[in-house]
Amino acid sequence: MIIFPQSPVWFSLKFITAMRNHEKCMYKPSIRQAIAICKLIIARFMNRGQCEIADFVEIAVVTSPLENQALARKIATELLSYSDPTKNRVSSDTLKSDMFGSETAQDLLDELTLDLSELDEIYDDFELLDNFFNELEDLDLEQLIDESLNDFFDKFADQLEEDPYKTALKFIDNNAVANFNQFKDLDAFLDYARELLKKKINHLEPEDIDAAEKLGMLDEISSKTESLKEKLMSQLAKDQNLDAFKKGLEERLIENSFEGLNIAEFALKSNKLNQQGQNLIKDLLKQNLSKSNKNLNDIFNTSKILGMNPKIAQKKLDNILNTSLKLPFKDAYNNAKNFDQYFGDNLSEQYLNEINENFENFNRRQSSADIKDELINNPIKSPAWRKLISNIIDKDVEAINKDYNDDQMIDAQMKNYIDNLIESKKGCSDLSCQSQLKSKVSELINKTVGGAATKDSLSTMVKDFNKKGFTPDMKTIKDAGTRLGMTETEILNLIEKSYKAFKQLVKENQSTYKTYKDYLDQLGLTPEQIDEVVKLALGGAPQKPPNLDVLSALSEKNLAQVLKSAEEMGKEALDMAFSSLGAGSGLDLLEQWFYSRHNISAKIKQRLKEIIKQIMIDLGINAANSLIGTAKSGPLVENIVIPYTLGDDFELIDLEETISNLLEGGKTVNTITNDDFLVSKTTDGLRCLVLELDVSGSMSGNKLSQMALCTTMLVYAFKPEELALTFFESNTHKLKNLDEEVELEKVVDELLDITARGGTCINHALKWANLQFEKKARSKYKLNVLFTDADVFDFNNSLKELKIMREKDVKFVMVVPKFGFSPVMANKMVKEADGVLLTLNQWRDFPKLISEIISNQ
Amino acid sequence: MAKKPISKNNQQNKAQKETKTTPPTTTSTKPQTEQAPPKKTTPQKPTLQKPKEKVLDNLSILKTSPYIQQKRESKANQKPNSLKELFEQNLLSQKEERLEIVLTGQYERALDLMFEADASNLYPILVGPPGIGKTTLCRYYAQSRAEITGNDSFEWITFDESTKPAHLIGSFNPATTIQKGFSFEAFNSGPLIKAMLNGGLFLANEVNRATEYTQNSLLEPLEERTLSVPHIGRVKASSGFFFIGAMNPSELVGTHRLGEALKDRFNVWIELDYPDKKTEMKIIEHNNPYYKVEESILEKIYLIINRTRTHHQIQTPASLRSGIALARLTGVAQKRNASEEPNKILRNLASNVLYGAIQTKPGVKTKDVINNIIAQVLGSI
Ligand SMILES: Nc1ncnc2c1ncn2[C@@H]1O[C@H](COP(=O)(O)OP(=O)(O)O)[C@@H](O)[C@H]1O
Ligand SMILES: [Mg+2]
Repeated sequence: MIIFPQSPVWFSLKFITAMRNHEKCMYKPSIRQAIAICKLIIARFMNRGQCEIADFVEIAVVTSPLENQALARKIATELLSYSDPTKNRVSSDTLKSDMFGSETAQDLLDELTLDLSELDEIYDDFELLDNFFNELEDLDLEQLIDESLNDFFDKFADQLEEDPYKTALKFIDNNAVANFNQFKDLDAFLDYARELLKKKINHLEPEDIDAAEKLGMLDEISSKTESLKEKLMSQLAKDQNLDAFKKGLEERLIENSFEGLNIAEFALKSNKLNQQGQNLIKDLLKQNLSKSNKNLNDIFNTSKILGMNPKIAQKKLDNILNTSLKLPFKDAYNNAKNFDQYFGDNLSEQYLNEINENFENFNRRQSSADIKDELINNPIKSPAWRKLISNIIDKDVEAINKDYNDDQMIDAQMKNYIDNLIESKKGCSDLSCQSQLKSKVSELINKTVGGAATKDSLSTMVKDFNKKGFTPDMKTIKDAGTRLGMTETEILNLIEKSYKAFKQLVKENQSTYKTYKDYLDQLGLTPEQIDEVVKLALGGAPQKPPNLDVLSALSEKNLAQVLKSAEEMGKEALDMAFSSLGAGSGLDLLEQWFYSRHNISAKIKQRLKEIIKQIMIDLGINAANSLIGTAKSGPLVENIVIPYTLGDDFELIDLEETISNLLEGGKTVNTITNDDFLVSKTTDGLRCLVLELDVSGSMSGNKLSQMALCTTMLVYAFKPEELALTFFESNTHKLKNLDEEVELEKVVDELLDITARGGTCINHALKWANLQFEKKARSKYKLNVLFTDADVFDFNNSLKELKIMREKDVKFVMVVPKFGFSPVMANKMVKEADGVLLTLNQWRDFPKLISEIISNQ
Repeated sequence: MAKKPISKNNQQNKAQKETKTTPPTTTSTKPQTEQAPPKKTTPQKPTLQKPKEKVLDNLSILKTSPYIQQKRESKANQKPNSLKELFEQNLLSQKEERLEIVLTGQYERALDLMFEADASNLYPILVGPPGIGKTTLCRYYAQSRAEITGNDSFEWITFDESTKPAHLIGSFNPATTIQKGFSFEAFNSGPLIKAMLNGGLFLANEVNRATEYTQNSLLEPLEERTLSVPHIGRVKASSGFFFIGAMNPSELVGTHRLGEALKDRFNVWIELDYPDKKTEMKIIEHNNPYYKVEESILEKIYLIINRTRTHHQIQTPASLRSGIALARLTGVAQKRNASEEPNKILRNLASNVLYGAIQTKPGVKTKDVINNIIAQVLGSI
C-alpha cells in the first residue's frame, strides 16, 4: 500500500541536496532540515490521516527560512513531479544498503559532504525514521480490518514472515487485489503469486526480479520474455555472471543508446547487483557518455539513472553540446534545464550559448517560431537566453524583409509579428526575462515605426502600439514623419497620441505611482505638458479626489514645474501638491532640490525646504539607526560599575569592587543587601568626529546631494559634542566646532542651502580639523571624514596636514563619488594619512561602509 | 549614560498586562495598595460647561457600557486590598477565561503546523508584522494544548535589546546567596526554566530583537533540551517542553537579525501576513463584541485600514489593532449619537486612529496621507 507520494527519506535528502546546489539558495540548509521534513511528514500523516504531494511541498517550504521559501517551493514541486512516485518508495531494506534503488543513502549523504563524525548520528536518525515509515507503509487500514477477520493471516502468521511466502505476499499485495481466504494452504498461495508473476513477464518492474528469484521463476522468465532487459537480468540473477551481463549491456548501448540506458536503469533498480556490479554499470554509463555523438538527452538520461552529475570534462561537453544542435530544440532544452534544476548546473545556458555561436547553421534546420515559443514560455535567467531570443527575432525580421518586396506589405507583416510577440510575452513566467523581451519589443517597434512606408501606416502603427502600452520614441516618430513629408501639426498630433493616452490614465485616476513613473520615464514631457498634467490631476470635478500619485511621480521629474503649476491654481492645489511629495525613496526629491531650487519662487521655496529638510533628517536618522548606531549607543564601549538590581546577570557581579565596597562599609553577612553588590556594565566611550565637505564648483548637482546626505547621516549618528563640521571651497566655512553648541537641524538647514562654487583649497579645512582633534585629545577614537571629489588645487600643502593626522592617530577617511573624482590625487592623499578611500556609488551604501570602518578601529 | 536594565519584576508585569484577555480599556481605577497615601479631602472637580442634556447622554452611555459594567462588577466582587491579592485574582480569571479567536485561512494552517511541530519535537517560529496575531495565536495554542495534555504551563517573554540571559534562566538573589549559599532557595527561576521543568510551552516573542549574546542562551535548550543554571547544574526539560518563536520580518526598521545559529534551530517557519478581506473583517467583528457596527461600515473600516498597506507614501501600515480600535470606537459613537451620519463618524474617528497607527515615508505629512486615504474610501467632503 502506498501511503506517501514519495519516499520521505529520499525526498528530504534529495530536496536539501538540490537546495544546497542551487545558486539562488540564500541560506544553505543543514541536514537538520531533512530530519525535520521527515518528522513533519509523520506528524502531518498522523494529524490528517494522509500526506499528499501538496503536503510534501508545504512541509519542504515551511521548514525553510523565509528567504528560501520561494525556491523551496519550486524545487520540491519539481522533485515530486519529476520522478515516478512508485519508484522511490521505501523498501523494507535498511537505509545503509540500497533503499533508494540506484541511489544509495550513502550517495545522497556523500553529496551533502558531511563531516564523517556527523554521519553516524544522522544515520541513526534516519534509520529510525525509515523504520517508522516502513511500518506506516505496511499499515493499510483496509488490510487491518481484513486481517482481523481473515484466518489466512492468523493461520500462517509465522510462515508469512519468511521467504518465499513473505515475498509472495508482498508481490501479490503490490500487483493484485486478492481475497486471501481463497487460499487453502500455502502452496495455493505460492501458486497464485507465481501465476501473477508469469502474467507480468515482459512488463516486469525492477524489484520483480528479486521476487522471481525467491519464487523460483528465473528460468521461466529468461525463456519466455521478449524483453532484453528482463532476459539479461534474470540470467544474471541466476548465474551471477557479470561479464556476460556487461557484454550484453555494452552491445546494446552501442546499438541503441536509449535502450541500453533502459537496461542499466532496470538493473540498478532491481536491487540485485552487489556493489561491484553497481560500480561496473555506473562506470560503463559514464564511459558511454564520453563516446562521440552523444548529446544532451544522453547526459540527462544517464544522470537520471546515476542519480548524480556525471561531471563531464569541458572538452567532451563541448562536443556533446555541438552534437545536440541536431536534436529537436524543445527536448534538448528541457532536458538540459531539468538537469540544471536537479544538479544545480548550467547546461541549459551552455546549450543556448552553443546555439548562439552556431546560430546560422542551427536556425536553418529548426522552426524559429517553435524555438521562440519554447524560450518564452520556459525562460532561464541568462544573457544567453536574451541573446538567442534576440538572434531569432532579428533573423525573423530579416526574413520578413527578404520575403516581401512591397514596403507596405513589410509594414503589415512586421506589425503582425510584433503583435504576436507582445501576445506571447504574456506567457513568459519570469519577470526579468519578460522585461528583457519588452525592451527587445520596444527596440523592434522603434525600428519598425522609424522605417514606416507611408504616412498612414506610420500613424496606425503608433496608435495601435500606444493602445498596447508601448510608446515609440518621440524622436523616432518625428524623424519618420518628416521623412514621409508629414506636416508639423500632423506629427505633433501623432506624438500627442501617446501623451493623450497618458492623460487619459491620469484622468481615470486608477493607476499607481509606479505606473505613472514608468510612463514618465518613456515620455519625457515638456514643461508645458507637465503644467497641463498637473492641472488635470488637481483640477478634476469637485467631488473627485485629486490624483496625487501622478503628482508624486511628476515631482520627481520636475519639482519646480509641478509646484509652479500648482501654485497658479491657488492655495488649496498647492497644499495638495505638497502633500503628494515623498512617494519614492526621497532621494529623487532631494536631487530635485539641489537641481531646481533656484527656479522656485521664494515663497514656496521655504515651505519646500522644510519638507526636504525632513526627508534629509528622516533618511539620516534611519540610516544612522540601522547601521551606524544611534547617538546613544555608539560603537565604543567602556566599563562602569553600578549596584545590583534584581534580574541582573549574577555572573556580572564584580567581586573585587564588591569586596572592597563591603569592607569599606563595614558590613557583616547579616546586614548585606542586594545594593551592596556591584555589577560591571558597559557604556559608551568618548568619540570625536570631524567632517569636511567639499562644496567647490566641481561638486555641483548629484555629487553634492549624495555627499550632503551622507553628512546628514553622520551628523545624526554622533552626539553633538562629539562632532565638528565645516564646508570648504577656496575658503572654509566653519559650521560647528567641537565645543560649540549648534542645533543639528540648523546644520541640515545649511547643508540644504549649499551652492557649489569656487575652487578647491583643502589645506585650511584640514588645519582646522587638526585643531579640533587637539581640543579633544582625550577621546579614544578620532575619526576624520573628508567628502570631496579630490580635484584639489593646493595638493602639496595639504599633504603636510594629512601627515599630522596620521601621527596623531586620527583615522582618516576620504569619501569620493564613484564617477567623477581624481584617482591619482585621492590615492596619494589617503596614502599620506594612512587612511581609507571610500568610493561611493550611491548614498545607500554609505552607512554600511562607514560602520565597517568604525567598527574596525 | 548607562541604560538601567529592566528589572525582572517589571518584565513580568509587562507580560502579565499583555496576557489579559479583556479589551484594552485603560486602567483608570487604580488598585489601592497598602502604601497608598490617604485620600485627598478636596479633589479638584472639573468644571462642566456642556449643555445638561449632552452630559446626561454621556452618563447614560457610561452606565450601560459593557466595558464599565464589567469593571464595576469586578470591583464590587473583589475589593482587593493588596497588590498580591489583586495579582492572584487576576491570575485566576486569566485561567478561567476561554480565549476564542478567528481561525480561518492562514491562522488555521499555522495552528495545524504548530500542533504537528509540537508532536515531532520541532520548534516553529511565527514571522509577521506587528499586530498580525502572533501572540494571540500562541495563547490560543497554549490553551488548546492544555486541553489535550492537561498541562497548562505557559511562559513567555518579549525580548528587546536589554533582555539578558538571566531574564530567561533566572538569577540568584545575592543577599540570600551569601547567607545560604548557591542553593535552589536563593534562586529565582526565570520563565524558560519554569517552562522546561513543567514540560510546558515557552513563547519567545520578538526573538530577533534579543542581542546575539542572549539569543545564544537559547541554543542549548533548543538543541539539547537542557539548560545550564550556573552553580546549580544542568537542568533537563521534562517531556512536553515546547518552544515557539515569534518575530517581525527583519526588514522592518528597529529590528535586528536572527543569529545564524539560532536560525538553524528553528525548523518550521510560519509566515503570517495581513489576512484576506473576509478574515480580517471577521477578526474585527470578533474583537468588537459589545456595540456592533453594521456590515457596510465594517467593510469601510477594512478598506481604510487595508489602503494603508498599499499606499505608496506609507512606511509602516496600520495593523489589525487599528481596525479593531476603529470598529469599537465607531460602535460606541453610533450608539451615542444615533442621528449622526455613519460616514461622518467614521471619518473623524479614522483620522484619529490612523494618526498614531501609521508611519509615513520621509518628508511626508501624516495628516495629508490620512486625508487622502479617507477621501479615497469615503469620498471627499
Ligand atoms: N485570529 C484572530 N482572531 C481574533 N482576533 C485576532 C486574531 N488575530 C489577531 N487578533 C487580534 O489582533 C490584535 C493583535 O494581535 P497580537 O497577537 O497582539 O499581534 P502580534 O503579536 O502579531 O503583534 C489583538 O487585539 C488580537 O485580539
Ligand atoms: Mg505581540
